[in-house]
Amino acid sequence: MRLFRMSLLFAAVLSICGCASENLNSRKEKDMDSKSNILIGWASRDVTPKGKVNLAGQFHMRISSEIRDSLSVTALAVSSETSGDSFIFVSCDSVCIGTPLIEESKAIIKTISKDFPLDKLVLNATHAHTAPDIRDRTDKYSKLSAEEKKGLLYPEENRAFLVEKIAEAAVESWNSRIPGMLAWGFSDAVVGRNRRAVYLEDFSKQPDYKESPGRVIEKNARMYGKTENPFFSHIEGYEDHTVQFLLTFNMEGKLTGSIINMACPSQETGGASYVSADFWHEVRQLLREQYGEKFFILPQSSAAGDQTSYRMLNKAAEKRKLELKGIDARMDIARKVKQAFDDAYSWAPKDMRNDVNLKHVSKEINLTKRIITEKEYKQNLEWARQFDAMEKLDSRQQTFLQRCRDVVKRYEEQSQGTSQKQPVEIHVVKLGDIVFATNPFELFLDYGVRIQSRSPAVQTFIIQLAGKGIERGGSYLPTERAEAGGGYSATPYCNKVGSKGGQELVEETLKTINELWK
Amino acid sequence: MNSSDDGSLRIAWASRDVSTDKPVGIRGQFHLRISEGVMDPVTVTALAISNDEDSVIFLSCDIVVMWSFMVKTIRAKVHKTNPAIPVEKIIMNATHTHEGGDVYEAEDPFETLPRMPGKEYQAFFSDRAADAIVEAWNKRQPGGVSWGYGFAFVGQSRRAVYFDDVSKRPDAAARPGLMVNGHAVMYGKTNDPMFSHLEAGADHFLNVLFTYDPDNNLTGALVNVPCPSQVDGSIWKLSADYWHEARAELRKKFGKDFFVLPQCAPSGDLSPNYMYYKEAMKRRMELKGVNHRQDIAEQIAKGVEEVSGWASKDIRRSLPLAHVTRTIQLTRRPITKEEYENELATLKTLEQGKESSDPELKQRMIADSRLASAKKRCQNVIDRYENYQKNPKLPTELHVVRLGDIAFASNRFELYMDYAHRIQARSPAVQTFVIQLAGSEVGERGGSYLPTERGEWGKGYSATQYCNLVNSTGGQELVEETLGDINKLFSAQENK
Repeated sequence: MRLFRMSLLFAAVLSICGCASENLNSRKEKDMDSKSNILIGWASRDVTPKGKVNLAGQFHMRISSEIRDSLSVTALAVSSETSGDSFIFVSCDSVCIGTPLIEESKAIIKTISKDFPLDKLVLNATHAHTAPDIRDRTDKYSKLSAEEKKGLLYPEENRAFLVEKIAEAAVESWNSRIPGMLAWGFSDAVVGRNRRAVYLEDFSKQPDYKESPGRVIEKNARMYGKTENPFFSHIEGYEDHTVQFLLTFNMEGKLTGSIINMACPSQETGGASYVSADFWHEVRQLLREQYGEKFFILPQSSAAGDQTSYRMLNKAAEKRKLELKGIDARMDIARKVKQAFDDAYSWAPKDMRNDVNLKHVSKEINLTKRIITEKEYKQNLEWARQFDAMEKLDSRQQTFLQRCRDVVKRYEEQSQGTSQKQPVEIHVVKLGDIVFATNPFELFLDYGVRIQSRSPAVQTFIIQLAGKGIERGGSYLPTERAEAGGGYSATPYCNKVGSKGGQELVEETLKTINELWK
Repeated sequence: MNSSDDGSLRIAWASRDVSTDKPVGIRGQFHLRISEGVMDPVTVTALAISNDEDSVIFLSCDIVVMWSFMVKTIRAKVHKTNPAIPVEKIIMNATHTHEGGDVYEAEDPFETLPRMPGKEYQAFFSDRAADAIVEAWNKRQPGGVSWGYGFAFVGQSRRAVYFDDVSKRPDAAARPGLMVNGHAVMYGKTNDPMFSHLEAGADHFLNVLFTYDPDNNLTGALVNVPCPSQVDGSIWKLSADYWHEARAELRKKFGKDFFVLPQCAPSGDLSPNYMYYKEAMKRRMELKGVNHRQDIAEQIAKGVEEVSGWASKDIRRSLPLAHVTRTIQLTRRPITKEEYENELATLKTLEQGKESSDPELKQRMIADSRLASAKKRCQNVIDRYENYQKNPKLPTELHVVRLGDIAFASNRFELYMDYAHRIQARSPAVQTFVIQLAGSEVGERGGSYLPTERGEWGKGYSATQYCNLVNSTGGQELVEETLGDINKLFSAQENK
């Protein structure tokens, strides 16, 4: 059922502006007699660590030096009384999610809420690289100095803190559901850029090339590769500058919050040593300045394994722009997202809904793992031997050694015919004419486009880094062309699943979506 | 140092309407269209900038392609009116509107609807273009410029790539004389189960050069966008396409006398057409109450306004200006013996095709012009094969301009976007405005797609023997030649 249309929209918009006309107000009051079959609840928690932490997201350890801005988790619960189904999305300012985090969150929720539909819970990470490490502790922690260890919060403590807050937010959003309305739309913001440069010649034929054992195996593609290299040919793949929104309203037509879904992880300042939500901090700041302090924002990263907000081209032009504007790159991104939001908000509420068909399916699917070649096996066996022979390894080298060993182990398992498939959880949520589809990967953008192109939904929100399946959270899932080029994000170290499994994910997701559209 | 030799800039603009109510041929599709009126004005806009050392005159035209004979004609008319104007410094570019008047040199060997002869429109067009150039040059006065880099969501990659070679599918239709598909298809369906990806990225940048009068009033903007102006590419009316609405939006923001000079950055593989999310876009337009052209215009205007806000903090009135123009030789796309023999056979078959017997002249013209186009394209491939040994290089005019910290570089092609990235990434300029579909006095015809290596691999319209005078080897030669000149201009100034 489509309700209100233009009259309520303009009343709502104008009331936010504080300039609703008498006429519109009277029409608005008339519309208020209507009911909604949609229940909506929001909640949020601050998850800024209370002490120093190792920041996850780089090969090396980074012990946080300060808190630049706060981290949060944001939960949105939506139920349809008409179809009797629900979803609870929780977005986390975190580099990844991981199966243990999800299981532990659910365990706590179970203890505090008996009626919470655990199978309808979807957690996603914004991929902020300046949030605490929440994965199982590795050997690297034992190598820290006494000074570094002093007052340090370890991953298990960080995770315990985070899951408690996730559980609180999820339960509160569920318990606070009240009738409300929804609208969806999209606009554009140039935020995500493809970060893989492709060259006319393989690196092995270029001057001064050195291998990077355990870090990367490159052919002719490189993440963040120099585009000023005379061999530079092109940026590997597409960029999707669409920003999608699901807007929520209370029964008075007041905007209460929004999902913001775009193909870019939040890692503009991903190498910093402070705690931060990255550009989502500025996005929240700008949107709340206009739409109110209580305006909820739930960020989702669409398929963006090969994207970041870093500039691969025209760097000098962008630098000059920021200097003349007097802002940093994060604020520039936030302004673009805010502009996109304002644009979508100017038209999407004309089609506000108070009743939608909501169907939520979650399932475990099995995806073909990336094949380790014999050459890759032998290469990594040799590199592992070389690392083992070294007297002392720094934290990066320890990581590289472990990655070499993992590849060797995977090849051996593959040779024995075991562990050929990677089970992962996907969620597909039909909400009126739109759909949400999750995956636990850093999924290359092309997969998102494949799904969106063939989806029957008017808008398809892909949510990457969401749901169970990858123990330590995340794992790049490259395309065929990326596998051909190699480079970080498209090597055996980074890929539990290869392009064959990627297409299986596309087909399984589409099959599930199509079933919901029958 | 006095004001005459300190790099002080002199700037002026002029524009002319090149619309006609008379029916005139419209090119840009395989078939000929005849205009049935003017949807909105098609124009030419000139911007002249000089200092005591050098000059550049930009002329942007609402036409599909700038043929070499038109470049020669306009330059000759300008020279005749004012011999003091350095005609070799004129860079003429097409916006690639597919709804402009007829500027093709070739005669049509078929019956058409009544129309203004092409040569008559070309004379009218070139008169007005020359007038605009002369006026801009003669009116130059002290002024300032600023530049900036922004964004607008306009062009998308239009080449869909598939897991399979689509030409081998059972239902694949051969398009003799028109195109050869492979793994890639221009405007291919993305809801095909074998769809893999869009071939290239989508660059949503805007390069903008603003001009100011002596009192710092904004007078105009040169707007360089990587997207041809072809939302309504198949209508039967004259139109500037989205640049019409973009001009209107910009004039709403900056005043009715604000000049807008559109340039198309390399975008041979891009267009404003959506390759996916079509329903979502349709809904968006309906709810916004705008059409696609207006939506693009608003994005461009917003982007230009945003850049104007900060670029105006750095207005320059005195700048180094250097402009080199020369002929470079690019490797032509070789035609293989197999392709040659195929084209001979195809042409033979096409020659046997009968002219349309449709009782309606319009329908006959459409059918006959398509057949003529296919025959011509086959013949071109055959000629190129037969002439390749004695003519392996395509001569083409190259302009490179340095204006302070920015550079302009022109080429005649529908150049794939990746080439612009190669140039921009290695250019010492803070912004490099690459201008595609810029006229060249030398070399046959005008335009011609210039695909990348991956484009050639995938084939499809724009990356076949019919469409490419120059191949990816020549494309990289263009990159290197352009960068060579840019580097010389920047190092020459630094050494001063």
